Amino acid sequence: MKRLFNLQPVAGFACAGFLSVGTFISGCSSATYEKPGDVFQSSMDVKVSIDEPLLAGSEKQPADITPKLTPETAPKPALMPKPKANPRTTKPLTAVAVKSPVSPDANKESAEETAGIWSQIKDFFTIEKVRPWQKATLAKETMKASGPIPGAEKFTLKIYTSKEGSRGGTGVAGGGCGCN
Amino acid sequence: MAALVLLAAAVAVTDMKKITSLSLLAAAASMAVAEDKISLQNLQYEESDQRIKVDDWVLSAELNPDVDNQITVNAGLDTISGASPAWQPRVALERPDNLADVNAVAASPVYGYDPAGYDVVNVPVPDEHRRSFGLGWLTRDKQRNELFVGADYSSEPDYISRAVSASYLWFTDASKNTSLTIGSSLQVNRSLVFDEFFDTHWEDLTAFNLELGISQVVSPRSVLSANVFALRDSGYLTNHYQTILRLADINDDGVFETLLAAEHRPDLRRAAGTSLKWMMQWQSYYATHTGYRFYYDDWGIQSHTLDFKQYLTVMDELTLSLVWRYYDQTEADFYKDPDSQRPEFALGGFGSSDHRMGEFSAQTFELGAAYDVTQGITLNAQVGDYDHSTDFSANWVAVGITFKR
Repeated sequence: MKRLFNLQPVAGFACAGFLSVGTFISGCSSATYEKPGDVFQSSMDVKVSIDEPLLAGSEKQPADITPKLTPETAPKPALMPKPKANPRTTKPLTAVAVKSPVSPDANKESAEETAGIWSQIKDFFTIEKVRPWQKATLAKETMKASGPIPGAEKFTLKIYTSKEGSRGGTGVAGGGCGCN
Repeated sequence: MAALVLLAAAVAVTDMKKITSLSLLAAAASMAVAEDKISLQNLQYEESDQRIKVDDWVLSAELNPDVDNQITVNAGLDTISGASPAWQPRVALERPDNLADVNAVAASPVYGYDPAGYDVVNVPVPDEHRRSFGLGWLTRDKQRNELFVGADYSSEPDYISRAVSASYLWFTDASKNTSLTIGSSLQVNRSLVFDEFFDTHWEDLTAFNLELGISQVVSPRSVLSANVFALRDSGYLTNHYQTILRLADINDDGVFETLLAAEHRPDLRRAAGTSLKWMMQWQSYYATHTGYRFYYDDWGIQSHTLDFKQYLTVMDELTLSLVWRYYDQTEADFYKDPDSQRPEFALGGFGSSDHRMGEFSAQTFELGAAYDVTQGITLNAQVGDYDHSTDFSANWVAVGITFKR
């Protein structure tokens, strides 16, 4: 099962994640993160952990990651930040406790990345139904067939066409030249 | 907003129940807003042994008036200078009295006879300027299927090329993970060629290309594509700068003389092949492209091409590329190695001593970098080394700048 936040950081994804979680924050402000396990620092000074990524392709709701506060673990009232007003709803926001950046889930994620080459080989032989929101990586410049610099690729194709006895298989667009 | 409208249309043909507001917004975010680009690229290419040098400039633009349309334009100017190897008389070329009779039966123009023999030497070629223009239009329908049409024109003193091309990309599934492509192009070219007196005249040739492809998104980080293609070249396919040696008894003394003649290739070439490509983003900073192509034609040439490209994103602004390519081909049926014991051809029939029609393998190593100087401006540079298993080698440096907005 692919995890949504395995993909590269995209502001839109972060926003989508916020909206899905919904119960945490009703707004979508600028926020960045590097990898699962990091803690969001939104412009509204409200920290949210993304330790529990959404399961792509599933309608299953993400697990509730809100720590269950008990009388023993709950912060004392004097230490609680003053709730800020949500600019959209004007309702005060509820402060959410921040999880540790290094969580058991993050360790698991790290272990998965370490053994990633085998899972990627397995991926290669297994065609997954990739959802639109999982295609951020596929949209990267380095995943374009012609590479990050298409103009440079055309130069080398021209060299090969003029110096070798075969051609073809590289697309139909383009003109000819008397170089061969 | 337009992206959301389009997305809503796509959603209508998918299982809407499974698309939540999360997926809607996430997909909209992943639908990259196309950037307009203007790029200027320059190639400095140089062959070993002081052969050909090329100074190639290409200015191209990619314009996206909306998410459904893309226009590409390019203009190029290249200059070729240097020399090209060919058989030449060792002392001087004689033109026997009965040369016209010889030419009447010869398959290609016979230039003359040198009793001292011949050598393969680098023959200087006049500096040539080539100008090229290209225009393409890509449009997408509601299902994001793509139709592309293009036209290209190039002109140089001894060659004119006109080309039209079209292709259609069709997504077979609502998830857009599988696509089929059909494309075709037709080139109508003219080449200025020599006759036996080195007078010139224009000859026509056409090149037809048909390609069918399938592309499959294998995983969120991997794409596999396969392609089959067919080529049909017809008309004057000979390289009129290339020469061969032909044997004929010109003075009827029972001894065959070696004559210098133009090379001669068949007027029809049919080829087919297949190519495979696998692109994989192993990590957020590391991607590879692995490709293979098989080619076969009725001239007797078979080739295999392997290429392996690595892209390493060192930092957000800097991407390095390392390319290795291996190429191997068999020789054409009508090819004779000029270094062989008997490089001569009969007076009739096809013949070529152009090493590009011969058996050889080649390797390319290329190192490149693309650097985002500021947001919207990218500099790129590549250095390449290209070695044939023959005595041919070449290297190049390419630099460019791309503006995006």
